[in-house]
Order: sequence, then structure tokens, then C-alpha cells
Amino acid sequence: MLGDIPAHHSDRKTIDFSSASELLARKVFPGAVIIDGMKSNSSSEGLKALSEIVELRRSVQFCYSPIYISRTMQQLDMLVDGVTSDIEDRLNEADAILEKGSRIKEEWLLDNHNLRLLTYMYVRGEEYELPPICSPFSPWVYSYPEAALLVDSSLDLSKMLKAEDLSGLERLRSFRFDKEMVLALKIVGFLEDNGYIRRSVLSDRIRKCPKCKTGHLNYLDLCPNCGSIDFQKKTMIHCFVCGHVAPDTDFRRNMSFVCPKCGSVLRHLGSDYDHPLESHECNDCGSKFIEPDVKAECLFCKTRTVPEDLIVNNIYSFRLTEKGVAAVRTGNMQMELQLFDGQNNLILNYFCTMIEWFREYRKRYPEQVFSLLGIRFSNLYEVQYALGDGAYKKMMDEMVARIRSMVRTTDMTTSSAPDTFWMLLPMTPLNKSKIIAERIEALNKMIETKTDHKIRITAKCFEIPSLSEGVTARDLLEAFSETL
Amino acid sequence: MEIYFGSFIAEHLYPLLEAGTWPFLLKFMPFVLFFELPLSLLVVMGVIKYSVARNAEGERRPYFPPVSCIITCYSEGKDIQQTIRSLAEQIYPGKIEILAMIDGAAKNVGTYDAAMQMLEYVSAFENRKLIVVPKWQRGGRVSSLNTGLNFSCGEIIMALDGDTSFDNNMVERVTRHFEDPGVSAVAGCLRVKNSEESLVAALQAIEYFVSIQSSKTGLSSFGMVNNISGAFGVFRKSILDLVGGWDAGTAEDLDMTLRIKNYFGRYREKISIVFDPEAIGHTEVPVTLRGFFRQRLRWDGDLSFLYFRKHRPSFKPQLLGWPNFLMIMFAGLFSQIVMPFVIFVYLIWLFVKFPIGYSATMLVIVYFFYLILLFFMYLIFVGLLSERPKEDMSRLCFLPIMPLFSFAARMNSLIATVWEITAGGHKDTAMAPWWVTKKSKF
Repeated sequence: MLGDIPAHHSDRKTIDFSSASELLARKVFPGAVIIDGMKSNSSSEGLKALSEIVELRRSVQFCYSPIYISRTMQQLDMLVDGVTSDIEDRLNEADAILEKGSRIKEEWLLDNHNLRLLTYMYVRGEEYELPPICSPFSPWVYSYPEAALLVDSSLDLSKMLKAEDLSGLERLRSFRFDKEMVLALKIVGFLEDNGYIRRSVLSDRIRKCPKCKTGHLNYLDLCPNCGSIDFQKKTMIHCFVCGHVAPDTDFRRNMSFVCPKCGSVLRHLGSDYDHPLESHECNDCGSKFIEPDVKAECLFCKTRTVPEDLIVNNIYSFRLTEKGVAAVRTGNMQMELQLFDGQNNLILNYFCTMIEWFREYRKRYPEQVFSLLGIRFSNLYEVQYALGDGAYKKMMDEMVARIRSMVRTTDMTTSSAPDTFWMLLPMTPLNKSKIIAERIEALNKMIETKTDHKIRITAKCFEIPSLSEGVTARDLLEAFSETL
Repeated sequence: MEIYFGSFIAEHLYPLLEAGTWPFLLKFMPFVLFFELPLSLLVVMGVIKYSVARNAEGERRPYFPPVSCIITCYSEGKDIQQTIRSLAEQIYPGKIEILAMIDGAAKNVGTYDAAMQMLEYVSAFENRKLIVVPKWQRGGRVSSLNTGLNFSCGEIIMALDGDTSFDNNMVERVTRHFEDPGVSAVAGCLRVKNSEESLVAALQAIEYFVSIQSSKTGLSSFGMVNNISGAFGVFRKSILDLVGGWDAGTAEDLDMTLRIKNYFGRYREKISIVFDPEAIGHTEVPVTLRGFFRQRLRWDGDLSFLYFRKHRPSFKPQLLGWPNFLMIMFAGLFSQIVMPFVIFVYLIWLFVKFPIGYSATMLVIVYFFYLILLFFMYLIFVGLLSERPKEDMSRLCFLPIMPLFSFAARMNSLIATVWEITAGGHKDTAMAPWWVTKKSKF
């Protein structure tokens, strides 16, 4: 139980803590958590509960744990597993989650949002669906708040709690989560693209501004000539006597229609005149047109877009795939960044086997030197978020092409994390491979982005120590990657 | 149901044929002088009077009261769309509420659907509103009008037929008269929509022009309008409330006129009925002679029913005022009901007493007398009144047939009167189902 006033006395199963920080500090896990929201009527109490949830979900230990709140707190309810004040009510459910979670190794989840989300989904059972939630006042409109909670970002909780400028409900409603929500969309998109999760139910379809990607659009009818919204409908009259066609205003003479060309009085629709068409006249540029243009104007960036060019977003809920389940069970995800491909790009296990083979080989033939090149990209998500998918992909393609041109593509490669890549360089002493590493790191100077975030490439060479019996190649890679 | 003054034509002078020579002509001249020529003269003078007043008419003052148009629909089908369209299309800045009353909508689904299709069309107009009221069970025209009256919000109520369409200045022309608080009703002018379809239709177009557009204009100048057409009558709502709406039974239009006229006499207030020849509705007429006779048989039967049975107590000058009393006596009773009998008897007598060649010659002389009279009146009316002079002049070639056509109509009217008096034929009407007319207290 988390809360200022312990609702229950501690017993065998339940322990009370005053805050999430205390819980984390005392290292009591794994376990199910109930956040006591007794004073939830005040918005500061709601925000406090929110900050507790965020803190727990950010931690490796509680990122997938069952978390409940003791009473409903409107918007917060969807972020937790349910509302209950007594864990006994949810014991089966919580136990099932913890049971599944017991197979997960904590270290797999370090710095890996993707795997955290997959794990979060996995432990909640096969029937679990990650639901999209509509937040009408937000720029993104639809996102996955449960995924957003798992994102470890620079969100300043203390700043959020101090925000006194907003009234209570509004403060809760906004969550101040924009960046995380957008990142959650990217993560979900990435996991879907790579087959870890699959679409389940199509729940909505929205259209977004192609420039700023927000979903608040205003559909306007406009003058096709000058784009003004100030135009009026003109009813046209066709005089049967002389065939003259003009707007009805040209025909109005006091309380009757008189043809301006032939002077006939047009009395009866159908026998003296008819309306061949409806037309419009712009009050700004004076142009005449039949159909006004229709464009969607973004309420944020004011960009006007023809409806066909809007980004159509289908909003789905998601389920874990077989591949996703396998990733959670092994703690291993294939790389998202395809730095290397082709026949020589091996899965990690096989790559480790190859290292071990080379090590044995070198024992017998010491002149057969080889070295290992590690490359790591940092800030990938942040840059991807800042640049947008298109620009990001373009930049990464360029970078990948340059790196590939520097190395021999016949060398064996693998990836141990989405941002970490390895290359086995046979017949290459450490000093030679260092030159390659330097060249790769030199790329950092060429990377220029307009945003604050910058992708950083770290490249290092390693020599495999020979006298390390019992130390597996996997252990070595993990140790090396710490230094990258 | 129209009373055709202009087409007095041949019938009244048939007694002249008895003589066949100048002394005889002179003998019957008083008949002409007392009845036929004075009436024609009155109408011509009235038309001239109107025409002068019309030319002096100033700018329209900004008086645009809300108008409710009650359209009584039965099985018109798509035709009512033209009616609704022509009302929505009115050049009138005020509000126009269009109430399409679909009588027997359960049976007349086509008409109901046609009206419903117009909802979107009308909604595009400013200040126009269409309300479609399905009366699933058939209840007759009067029940449609009274139901519509309940739904209506306008100060001015129009009772209109589902197959009549209107000129785009109709509402504007009609409403201007109501600025005078003494005007209680305006009779609209009907023209024939399908005059091109047959000779009979073209002859009726001439008849409508002479006996409605021209004669009523003339009479209206002297405050003697004697009927408000059922297909096109406009009332001040307060007056309708005063007389309690329309009465069940047939010929509710003439009935309403007589009841309003009763108020003229009873209260001695200056309440008047105006006819405007420029407030024009276009209606379909029967295209065959047979259809024409059947229609007139029904109308004229209804007419004598009203005079003889329902309104007999109303025929007092104290009630109607003297001019109207005389007008109704003369135009209604005498020319429409008594004259056909007189003419018929004289004609039989003529052919019995004189040789056939002699009788025939006399008929030809009388024919030409009426043709010339009609010809000059027609030219005057077209010159002074017609808003479509070209169209009306194009029918000049049919004028020679008109005396014969009118005579045939008059004989048809005689049959109707006999039928009504002897058999109570007014209940045999197409205006309301038998179970309504049977229950009617009249």
C-alpha cells in the first residue's frame, strides 16, 4: 500500500509505504502495489498518485507489476490495472502477473522501452490488448498511455506537481505527457513494423495534418482562385426568351425578375426561366466558380491541406505476437537499425559461437589475430522523435551507407541491442581495427541536426582475452558494451 | 367553380330570335340593355379604373407579413413539386411557410414522397419553410384546410391547390393589399397552365382570362368580388379565426366567400375582398370536352346547392349590403341558375314557333353580336390587363368558337342545376369522400 495514512496494518502479505520512492529504496519486490487515493478529490492528491504511478512504471522492478488504486480517480483509472482497496479481491489476477513476470530478468529491461512494453503486455496474459485512448485536447489525439508511462524520459515530476497555474481538472486531464505520448506512438509503431505486436481491433480512424501531425483540423470551403473563405452563393437565371444567363441579382428589378438583355419580365419558374446552375462569387477577388475548394486547415500550424493529402491514421488496439512473446522470454529483440545485413549478419548466439571458435583457433595458431569492433548509437529515439520518421530514416540510411563503405562486408556482424552492433574482424590486429573505429567515430562531426538532440556514434575495438576459460563470449560482449 | 360574366354571350339574347325583325329586336332590346350591356360596361369601366390606379401605384412599402400557404394535396404526385418550388421561389423578403397537406397519404404515397423530396430543396432558401403533413386517412379538402390552419403561423393564410403553380411575384402582389386593415381576403387570379394541350384547353384559357382575370378585376374596382377561388384564396388569419375556419361540405370556397360577406353586412365595418389580376396561379384544366363537362357539372351543382339550400337565409340586403346583394342576386342566382332555364325555354320555343331557316338566321345574327362584343372586350382586356399579352393575343383566332363553347357550358350548367334540385347530387362530389359529406349537417 502506498499512501500517507496506512489503510491496513502490515501483515504477512501487505506492507505499507509512504511513497514510491520509499518502496523502491527499501527494495521490496516483486509485488503488487495499491496506491491509496483517499483524498483523491483534490487535484494535488490526484497528481501525487500520478507521480507515484509514473515513478513505479519507470523503475525496472515495477514496470510491469500489477498496480491498483484504492478508489477511482477518473483519468488515472486507465493507467492502472484496476480500482481496489483490498488486494485479496485481485489476488488471482495479481498473482498471475507476478508469476509470469518471475521469468523476466531485470537486466534485460534496462534502457529498453521496447522490451518493457512487450513484457508489460506479456505478463497481463494472452487476452491483453493495449488500448488506444482518445485525449481530445491533445495534439496527438490518440495514443497509448500505458506505453507512455514506461518511457524513461526527462519528465520532471516535481515540476509537474508544482504547476499551480492550471485548475485541478484541467491539470489532470492534460497529464503533461505530450512527449511521452508521442514516443509511445513511435514505440508501438516500431513494434508493429517489426512483428512483435499485431493489430487487433480497429477502433477509429483520424486524419492528421501532414506538416505538424496533429489531428485538430477545420474543414473549410474556399474560393479556388484566391483561397478566401468570404464568398457567397449566386443563383443563376437562364432567360428562356433570349437565352441570357446571369446571377439572379442582375435580374432583380424591384419585386420581379427582368432580363437585363431582352427586357422580358420573367414570372414563372419553368416556363419563363430556370436555374441552370448554382454558382459562387468571391467577395475578395470577385472570381466566379461552381464548386468551392475544400481544404482542411490545421488548427495548430494553420497549414491548409487538400483532404486527400491528409495523413490517415487507423487507430488499433494491439496484441502480442509469437515473436513478441519469444522476445520477452529470451530478453532479446532483433535490431531495429539494420546496420548490417546479408549472409554474414548472424544472430547473436551464432556470433558468440564464432567468437569462441576463433578464440580456440587462436590458441593453436597464435599468429591468427582477430579483433572485435563495437558500434553504438545513442539518442536514436530522441532524434527520431525530433526529426520525424522521414527525415530520420533518410539520415540513418546515409549513415549506414557510409559505415558499410568503411568496413569489409565479408566480415561477420551481429547486434546485441537495438542500438549496438558488433563486427568480427579476422586477421586484423587491434591497432588496425582502431583506425576503422576512429573513422567511424569521425562521422559524429558530420552529423548535423537542427534539433538539440544529436545521434552519437561510439565505436571501439576490443581484443578477446585468451586466458578466460569459463567466461562465455556473451559475457564478454556484455562487458564490452558497458564501455561503449 | 367560376361564374363567367364575360361569357354571357349568346344565351341572354336568344329571346330576340322570337321576333327576327327590327321590331322584335327592339322588343327584346331592354333585356340586353338591362342585363347584358350594363354588366359588360361595368366590367370594362372597372378594368379601366383599375388600370389607372395600377399605373399610379407607388413604390412597395416595407410591409412583408409572414405568409402560410396551405396546399391541399391528394393524388397530384410529382405535380406538387412544381407548386412547392414556385412558392419557395417567390420574390418576397418576408417569411413563407409552405404546408403541404397530403390527404389520404397512406394511399397517395407517391404524392407524399414527392413532397418529402422537396424538404432539402426548400431548406436552401432563406425565410422559406416546408412542412409536410401526412393525413393518413382521407378526410377531404376542408379537413386539410382546417388542419393546415392549426399548423400555420403566418398572418396571411393562402388556401392553394396541389396542382397550381404560381408566378414569382404572387405573394408580393397579394400581401400588399393586406396593409389596408379593411381587406379581409384577396382572391387570386387563375390562368390555364396547359392551354397548349388541346382546343378545349385553349378555349378555357380564353374563358379564364375573360371571366376571371378581367371580370373580377372590373368588379373588384367597385368592391363587388363575388367569389374567392378555392384553388387560390388568400385570407387574413384573424378573419378565418372569426368565421371559425372552413365548413365541411362541398364548395367550401364560395361558402367561405358568402360567410365573409355575411360579416360585411352584419357589422357594417369596412371589410372588403380584393381581386388582384397580377397575383397569378397556373392551373391544369380538363383537355377533353367530356372532362370539361364533368368538371362543370360538379361545380355548378355545388353552386346551386349553396344558393338554394345552405345560404338561403343569407340572401338579404341587410346582411350583405345592397351592392353585394344585387350582385349575388344577379350574377349568382340570375345568370348562373335562372338564365340557363330561360334560355333553354326560349330556344325550344323559337324552333317550335318559327321555320327552321328563320330561326337559324336569327341565331347567326345573335352569334355575331356576341362575337363582336367579345372581340372588343378581349382587345381592351389584353391591352390594359394582360401580363402576358403575346400569349393571350395568340388565342385571338379561337374567339369565334367561344360563343358556341359558352352556350354548351351553359346548357351543361342547366343539367347540373336540375340534377342538384331533383337528386341532391352535391353529395356526389370528388372533393370529399362520401363518409364525410354524408355526415355533413348541410
